[in-house]
Amino acid sequence: MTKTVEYKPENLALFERIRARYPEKRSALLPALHLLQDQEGHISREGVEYVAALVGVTPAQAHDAASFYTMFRFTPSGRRRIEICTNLSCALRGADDLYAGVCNKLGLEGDGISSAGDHAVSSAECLAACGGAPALQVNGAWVENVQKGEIEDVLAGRLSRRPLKWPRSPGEPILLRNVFKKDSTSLATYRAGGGYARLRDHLTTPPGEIVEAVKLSNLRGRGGAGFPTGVKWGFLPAGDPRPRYLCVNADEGEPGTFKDRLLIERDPHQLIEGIVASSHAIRARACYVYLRGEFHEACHVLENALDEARGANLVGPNVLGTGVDVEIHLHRGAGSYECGEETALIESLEGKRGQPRLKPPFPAAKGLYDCPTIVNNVETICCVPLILDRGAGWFASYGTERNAGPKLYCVSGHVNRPGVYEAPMGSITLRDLVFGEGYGGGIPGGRRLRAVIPGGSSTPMLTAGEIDVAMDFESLSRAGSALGSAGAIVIDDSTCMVWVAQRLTRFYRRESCGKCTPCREGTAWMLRLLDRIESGKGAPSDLDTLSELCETISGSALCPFGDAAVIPVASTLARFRAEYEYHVREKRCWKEVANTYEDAAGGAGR
Amino acid sequence: MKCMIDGREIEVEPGTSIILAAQRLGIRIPHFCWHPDLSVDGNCRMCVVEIEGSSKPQTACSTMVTDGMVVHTDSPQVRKARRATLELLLVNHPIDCPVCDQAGECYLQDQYMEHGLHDARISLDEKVRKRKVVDLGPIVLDAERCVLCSRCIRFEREVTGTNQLGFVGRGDHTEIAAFDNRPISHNYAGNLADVCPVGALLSRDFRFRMRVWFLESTPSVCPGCSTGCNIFIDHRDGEIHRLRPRRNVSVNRSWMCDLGRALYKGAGAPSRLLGARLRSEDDRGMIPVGEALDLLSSRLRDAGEDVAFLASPQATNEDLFAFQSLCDAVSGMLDFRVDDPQDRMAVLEDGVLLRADRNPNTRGCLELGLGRTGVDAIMSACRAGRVKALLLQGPELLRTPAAGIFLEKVPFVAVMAENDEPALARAHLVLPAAAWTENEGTFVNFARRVQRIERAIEPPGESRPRWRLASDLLARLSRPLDATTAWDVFRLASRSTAAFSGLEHVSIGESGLDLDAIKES
Repeated sequence: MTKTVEYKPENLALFERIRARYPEKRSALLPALHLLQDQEGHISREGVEYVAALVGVTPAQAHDAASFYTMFRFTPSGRRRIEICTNLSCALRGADDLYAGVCNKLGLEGDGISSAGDHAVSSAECLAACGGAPALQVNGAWVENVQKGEIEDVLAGRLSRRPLKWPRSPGEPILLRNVFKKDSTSLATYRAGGGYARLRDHLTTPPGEIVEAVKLSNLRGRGGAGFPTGVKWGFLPAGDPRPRYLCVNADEGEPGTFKDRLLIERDPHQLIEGIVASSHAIRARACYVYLRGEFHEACHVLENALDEARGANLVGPNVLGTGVDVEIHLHRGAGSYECGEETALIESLEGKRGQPRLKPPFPAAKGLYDCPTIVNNVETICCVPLILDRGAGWFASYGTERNAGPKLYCVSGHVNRPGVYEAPMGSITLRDLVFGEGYGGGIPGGRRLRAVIPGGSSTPMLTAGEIDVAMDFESLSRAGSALGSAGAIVIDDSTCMVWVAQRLTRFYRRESCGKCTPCREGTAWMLRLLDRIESGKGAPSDLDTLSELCETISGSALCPFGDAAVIPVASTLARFRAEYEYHVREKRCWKEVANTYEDAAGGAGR
Repeated sequence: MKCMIDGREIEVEPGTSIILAAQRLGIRIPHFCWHPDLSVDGNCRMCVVEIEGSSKPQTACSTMVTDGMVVHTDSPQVRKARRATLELLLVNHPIDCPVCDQAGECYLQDQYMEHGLHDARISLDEKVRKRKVVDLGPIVLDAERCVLCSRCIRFEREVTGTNQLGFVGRGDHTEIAAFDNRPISHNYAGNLADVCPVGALLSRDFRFRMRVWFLESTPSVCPGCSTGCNIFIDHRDGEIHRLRPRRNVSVNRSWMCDLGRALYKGAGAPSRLLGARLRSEDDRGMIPVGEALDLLSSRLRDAGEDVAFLASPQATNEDLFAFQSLCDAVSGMLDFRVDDPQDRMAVLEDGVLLRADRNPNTRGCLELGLGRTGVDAIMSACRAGRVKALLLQGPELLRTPAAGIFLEKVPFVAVMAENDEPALARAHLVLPAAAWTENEGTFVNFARRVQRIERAIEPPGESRPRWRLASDLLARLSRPLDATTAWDVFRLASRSTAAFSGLEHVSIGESGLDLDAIKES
C-alpha cells in the first residue's frame, strides 16, 4: 500500500496562488516542492509524482530538477535539522570542532540522523553567515557565533535562533543608512528616511532617461563581474514585442560574501524601491527575486515588506497612479551555488536543474521564458534609487574614477571584527579592511597575516605583502586578483594553505552542476589529489596533475564556474607552492610539527 | 560567408556551426553530446577547436562561423585540450570494454584510440560507483558508462516528447535515470541506444548477440509503414542481427520506430517458405518452384480474361511492374487495395514517424496505376464465380475474415508469400517469395519520395523476389520481360510510368528522390 500524498486544503490554495505568479506553470516546481516538504517533512516518490502532475511535467522531469538541489530531502529527516557551515570562513573560526562536537554528542560519525531520530545533522557550504562564524541553522533559523560550550543548548532547543550583531561602519552610511534603525524593515522607517519619496517622479520619467542616468552614474554590477549596469540594460532589443523580465539575483552564495543578506534582512524596502524603478527603466512588468533557499529569514522579511508595499500601492498595478505596473514575485532557490550564474538562475526559475545555458544568446536577448531578461544583483538594484534620488553625477563622483558609488565590503575569517562594512568604492585598501580600526580590526591572538582572499572564494589570494591595494575593480585586477563580490577572507599564519585549497575545492566540487565535463570531473579529481596531499599521501607528480587540471578546467568549462573553481588551487600553487612541496616531501601537513609554516620549514633544516 | 578550416576554404550560410561546416569538408571533429538532429547543448567540451584571434579553444558545436574565420581542428593546442577532456571523461568510467556491447561503435573507445592512449591516473577503487544493469524494458542502463551528454534526454524531449529519462543528482554524482526505474514505454526506445555515444543505454534485443565489427551493413528502407525510414540492415553470414536508422533529413532524420526495428525478425523466421506448395487431393504438398510456375502459367493461359490479379502495397515498384506486366499479358483484372490503405497513407499515427498505412509502397501502386479494376469489382466477380484464377501478390486478402466467402467460387487461387501461416491454406498454390531484405528495388513513400532498398542477404531455399516470379511466369507465357535484375525492371517501368520518367536506380541514390521536386526541375 502506498500512501497518497497531497496538499492539505490550505496548502493547495497557497499552491494555486503561487502558480498564478508564473506564465508557465513549470516555474512553480521549486516552490511546490518546498511547500510539500514543509508539510510532509520530506518528498517521497509519490510526492514527486503529485507535484509533477500539478506543474505539468513528467515525474522524471520533476525528479531531474528536484534532485539537483541540496535542500530537498527524499527520505525522512530528523525533527530538528542542524546545518553547520563548514566552508572556509566558518572553518577558520572553529566550525570543524563545532561540527565534530555536534556529531559526537549525537553519536554520529558525520552527516546523518541521530539514532533517536530527533536530530538531523549536515555540513553545509557557505551560508552567508561569515560575519557570525561559526554559524549554523536550526530548522532554517540562524544561530551564529556558536561557542563550543553551546552545543548542548542547541541540541536541547534552548538556543534555536541568534542572528549575528552586524557591526557599524566608520564613515557615512548610504546603502546601510537604515539597517541599524529600530524596525528597520518597516515601510514607516524606510519612508521616514526619505524612502519612496521621489518614486512617483521616477516612474513618470521616461525609461530611456533612467537608463541613461544609470549609464552616466558608472554603476557597475555588484554580483562579481562588475559589468556596467546601464550598458547591460541597453542590450535589451528595442521594439521587441515580447514581455521583458527583471530577475534580481539574491542567491548570495559566494564563500565569504554576506552583504545582500544584510540588505534584504534589514532594509527590504530599499531593494523594493530599486526593483520598481529598475523595472520601469527596462519596461519590465514582472520581476522575480531569486532568493537563496537557505535565506529563511530574508524570505520572511521580504514577503512582509512586499505585502506592505503592495498595500501602499508601491508595488502592483498602476504604482502610485503613474500607470506603471510592476509586480514583484519572490522565488526561493533550494540549495545550489551555481544558480547565482545568471542563465542557471533563469533555468532554475523555469523549474529546471540550475545549469547554465550556452551564451550567446545572452539573457537580454533571450532569457526567462525566452524573453528579454535582465539579471541584476541585490546591491546593484539597491544603488538605483540612490542614483535617481541624488543624481547620476553624485553617484559617479562618489568613490573613485571608474569605480563609482557606495560599496559594501565583507570581511571574515581571522579578523577581530568580521562583518559587512560600507565605504565609497575604492576609498579603502585591503589593508584597511583587514586591519583598520573601524573595519576588520586586525588578526586575533597575536597571529600574523598569511593571505587574504579579497573578493570571495573565486578571486585569487593575495599574500600579506600584497594588501596595500585599493578595494576596487581596477586596482585588484592590477594586483592579480579581482574585487569579485567583495567578500574578503582573512587567513592567519596558523593556517595550512593546502588545507585552504582543499576546503574551497570541496565546495566547488559539491556545487559543480555537473553539466560540462571539465568542471564536473575535474573538480572531483582536484579534491581527491588535495585530500591525498593534505593527508601526507601525495606524490610529486600530483602537483603537476593539479596544475594541468587547473588549465584544463578553466580553459574549456562551459560557464565561469570553471574559471572560479580552479582559483583556490591555482593561486595557492602560485603563491604557496613550497607548502605543497613540504606535504609531499615530508608526507605530512606541517601543522603536525609546528605552529607556522615558516617554523616547520626552518625545522626541516632550511 | 567564407571561412578557412584546416587551410581549406568553405562558404556557408550564416548560422552554420563550425562542426557542420567542417563536416561538409569531410573533417570530423570529435564529439559526444552534439547530434545533428538534436539541439546543441555544448556540455561534453570535446569538440573544441582553435579559432585564430580567440584566446581559448571554442566548442565547434556552439560556435557559429563568421566571415573570414580561421579555424584549426587539429592543432597542438586542440589536441591537448581534447586529450585532457577525454581523460576527464574516463575518470569515472569502468573501462569494461571487453564485456560492453558498445565496443566497436563507442565514441569513447574510438576517441581514446585516436586522441587519448594515456595511462590511467585514477585507480579503479577511486571511481564513483553508479548503478549497473538497470532494466528499463527495451533498454538496459549502465550508469557507470554514461558520459552525461544528455542526448537521450534531449531525444525524449525534442523528438518523442515523452520525458521518461532524466538526470538525478548533480556534479560527478549525476546519473541518468528513469523515474522509479519504470520501463521506457514509447515506440522509439531503440533510438535511445542509438543516440547514446557509449555503452550506457543498450538495446535489450541486441545485447550480447553479436560483436558489431563482424556485421556488414546494407542500406535499405524500412517496409513497416508509408513513411519509409532509411535504415541499415546489419547482417552476418546470411543472418540479420539488427536494423538501425540511416540518417535522412528529408524522411526520418536519424530515427526509426521500434515496430520497424523489430521487422528483421520476420525475414529469418523459422516459418519461411523454402519451396512451392500445391494443395490437391492426392496431397503432393511441396513441389519444385519450376513445376509450380508451369502449373500456374497454364492456369493463367486457360483462364483467358477471367483471371484476376491483386497486387500488394508491400511489394517494390519492380515487383509491381512485373506483376502488372503479367496481368497485361493475359488481359486480366487488376487492383491492389485491401481495405483502402491510400486513405491512411499520410496519416501520422503518433506525431513522430509511424503512419497509419503500414505498407511501404501504397504510393508506388498508385504511381504505377495499379488501381485499375477496383477491389470491389474483383471481389464481386469472385463471388459471382466469374474468376477462374486469382493471383495474389501477398497474403493480405487471405487474412481477412471475409476471404472464405470471396474465394469460395474461385477454382484456383495462387499466392506469393514469405512465411507460412494458416491463412495460406485458403490458396491452392503457394509460391515462396523473397523477403524485403533479400530483394532490391524501390518504394515510393507517402510524400512521393522514391527510395531504394538493397539486397542484404540471399533468399532462402527456392524463394525468389516477386518480380522474378512474375518474370518467370511471363517467360512461360512467351511474353518475356527484358530484365535480368530489378534495376532492369525499374528501367522498363520508367519508360511507361510518368512519375519515374528518366530515372535510374543510380540517380535515385542512397537517400532517394522527391518526385515532386524532379517534376519542378
